[in-house]
Amino acid sequence: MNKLIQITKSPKIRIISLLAIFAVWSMFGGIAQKKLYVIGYAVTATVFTQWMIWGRTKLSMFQSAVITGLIIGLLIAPSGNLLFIWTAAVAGITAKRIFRFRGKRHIFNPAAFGLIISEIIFSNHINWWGNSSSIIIIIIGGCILFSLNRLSTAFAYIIVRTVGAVLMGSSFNTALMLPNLFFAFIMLIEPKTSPSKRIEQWLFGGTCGLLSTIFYRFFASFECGLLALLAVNAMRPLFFNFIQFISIKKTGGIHEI
Amino acid sequence: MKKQHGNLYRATGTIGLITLLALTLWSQYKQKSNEHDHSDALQHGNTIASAPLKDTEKFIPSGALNSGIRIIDYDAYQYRFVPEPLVVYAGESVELRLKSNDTKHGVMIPEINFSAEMPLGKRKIATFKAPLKAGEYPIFCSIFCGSDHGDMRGKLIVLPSPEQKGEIQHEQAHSNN
Repeated sequence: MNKLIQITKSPKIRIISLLAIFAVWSMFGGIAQKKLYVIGYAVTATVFTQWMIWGRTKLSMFQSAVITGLIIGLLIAPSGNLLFIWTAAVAGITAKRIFRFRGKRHIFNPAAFGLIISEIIFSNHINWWGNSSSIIIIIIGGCILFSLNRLSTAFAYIIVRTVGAVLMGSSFNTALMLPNLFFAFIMLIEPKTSPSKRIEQWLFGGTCGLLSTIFYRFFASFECGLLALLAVNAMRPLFFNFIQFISIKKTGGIHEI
Repeated sequence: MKKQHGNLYRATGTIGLITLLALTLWSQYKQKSNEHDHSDALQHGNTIASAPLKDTEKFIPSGALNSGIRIIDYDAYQYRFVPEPLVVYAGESVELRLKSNDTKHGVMIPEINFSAEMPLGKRKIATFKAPLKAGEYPIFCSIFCGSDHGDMRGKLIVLPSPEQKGEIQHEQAHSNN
């Protein structure tokens, strides 16, 4: 029993459970076999890539690969191109190895990176079928984010995206549509590529919302949210250095803005 | 021992990935696609036949007329079309300015052989000629857009044209006499 409680406390297990709930809930929409197949394929591809690159790893890394696979499987159309899924899985996991900040943490959200690479090569097969319930995302996803102290990121994104959408002439509830909710509550908050401090979370989420709105204005046929996330991931090392610089100045007794 | 385990995982991963790729390429090349045809409304269990129109008075034509062409901004969301219903007169030329707002959608009206993609975030123009027969014609989404894609539908209401209305009224007046 204690072991079960310990397992459920793990953030990655909670995310995996949430994604599994989405998958099960979405099966009721029809073509369940195909959806299951796509999810299984994506998870298999990410796990194999993980093993190929790292060999045997810690359980947490294995869980990360499963999460990446689940996200990819839930986003790509069930009747879509399997090669798209394979490429997204391999590119996403490989990016974790190649693009690292100071040799430690990977820079890019692996699912977003893989999906964008596949989209560039094969054109868009992403249709966000897995996000079928706003209630599940907001309630369960919100509770998980609260426990991970990552709610600020999601809120910042939704607020800025809503303001941006209204200014661009779209409906005010654009940010509350299912794909955006899934993006804000699941993809944006990946712990290794998103900040943990509150002020940084607001900056991160807000910048992603702003870039997403701008990209949507000019490249609407592309997955703007994912592109914005990758751009903010790439900028984050710069943010980190800037904030470190500010902290050093502060401790030195000089207050800079 | 640990190194051996690591190598075993690496080998499994590499072979597994290559096998997966090979199977994918083989299935794409060899097998005929038995995929669900998202552009086939019948596969969603929907009827595609038109229905006769009741209460024509309550419908107001959508969009605006410009040089004899009815221009309508037609939007798609998960899982509905706006405006709903789409109302036109029989026989008139219709220009739809199509746009998807959340994920990519398509629109099809099987009975008049009309089908078009609705691009995300920008408008695309597609034209058709409204049928001569007044009635209700079902509209479906032709691109898989999510779990409720099969239930995403709209209606094209074709009102009798003013000429047809005049003929109908003339016939009615004649039969009353």
